[in-house]
Amino acid sequence: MLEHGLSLGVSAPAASLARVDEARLRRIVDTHFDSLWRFLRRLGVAEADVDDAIQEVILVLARRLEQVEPQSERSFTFSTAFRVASDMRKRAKRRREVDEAALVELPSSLRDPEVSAHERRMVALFAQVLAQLSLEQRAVFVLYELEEFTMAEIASSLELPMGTVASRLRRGRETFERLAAEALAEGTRS
Amino acid sequence: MKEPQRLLSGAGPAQELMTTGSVLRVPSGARQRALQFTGVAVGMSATSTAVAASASTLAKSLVLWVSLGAVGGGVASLTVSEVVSRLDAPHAAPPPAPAVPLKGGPVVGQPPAPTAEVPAAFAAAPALPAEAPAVADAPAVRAARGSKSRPEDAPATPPTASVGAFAETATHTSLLEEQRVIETARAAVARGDATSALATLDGYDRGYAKKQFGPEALALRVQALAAAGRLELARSLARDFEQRYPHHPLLARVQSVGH
Repeated sequence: MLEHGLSLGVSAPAASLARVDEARLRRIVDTHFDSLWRFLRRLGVAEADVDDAIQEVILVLARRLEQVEPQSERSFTFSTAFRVASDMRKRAKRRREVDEAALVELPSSLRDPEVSAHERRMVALFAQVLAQLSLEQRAVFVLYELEEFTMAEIASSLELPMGTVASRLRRGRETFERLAAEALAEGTRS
Repeated sequence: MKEPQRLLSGAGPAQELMTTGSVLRVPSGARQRALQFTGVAVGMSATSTAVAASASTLAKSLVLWVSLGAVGGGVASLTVSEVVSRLDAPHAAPPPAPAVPLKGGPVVGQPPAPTAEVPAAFAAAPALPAEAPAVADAPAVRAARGSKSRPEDAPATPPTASVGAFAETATHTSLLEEQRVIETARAAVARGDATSALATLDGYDRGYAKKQFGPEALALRVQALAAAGRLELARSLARDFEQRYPHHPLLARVQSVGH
């Protein structure tokens, strides 16, 4: 679904065919690109599909840009990204094409010979632990813990009440901390 | 609501795992590809959904041809050949028509010039806009305008003196240019060259503010993406097509992509 019924940070609906402000669109993409790319990957979008996912996000942004208030650009972008990732995952599951291993696919950058074995192992463990969180918990966890969004920003981006953000974050952290401790202890024993 | 301290700022296994394990490098080139796509997205979002409303009979003939061509491999190419030959008819006094330049410089995705893959009917057509047809005399256009615009009823003023005729000529020049770009993309899809098709379509979406072949371009993009194995985006755009052009003749074709 490309045309999302987003409400937060979006002004009155307007089906405009006017020329989109390309400079503004480029600025938004440029400003949030790294964070957006990592967010999509951590939601389980395979590295080979992230380009396409970002293109979907950009298409939605382009169509809705006139309705997005400047202070809501980041929220709108990540809200759209979450929906795109979520839709991709649902479609893959529906087609039974989902490969859970792809959700913890390791970054191609780890093939770099400069990367130490320890780093590879930690990245692999981190991906496995993160994959244990539900998509909803993971989105909140990643935005808060890694992308340093505030809880209010997460609430706005994911269109959730603050209480829901808080509870998902709490449960996500609990799960992550428990699994991280287990994974590292397992590594120490082996 | 008080925000908890972030795990990375704390201590313990979670912090240890996150510090090293959360490193995620964005591949080089990804940002540039996304930024380049913004221009395409702007072009796609500006596509007019009112093709039929703005199109003349000529445009409708071309749209029909492209529609059928995309689906049936050029079954109706005779239709457009006829139209083009009429436009090229010697009795037509060609007024100087302005170029309708593509926006921007020679960027990636600029529509390539028609190549050998272009069907003969189009390869034989004169290069535009230098030899732009005198649409004022073309039967198809005449019919679209109604009897008032028939040459015999028209004032003796040369076309170049008429702003209206000038604008109309420019419009039809653009229409033919657009049609050629779409045909180039269609030919690329037909021969399985998805990369070239997508580059052509990128150029089309960037280059023409008022896209008179917007639905056809989107349908070809869906096909090209699917051919390139980019099924997620192809399916997503197919759904977009369904929403934007629910009654378009290409809908069934688009819906079949990726299934």
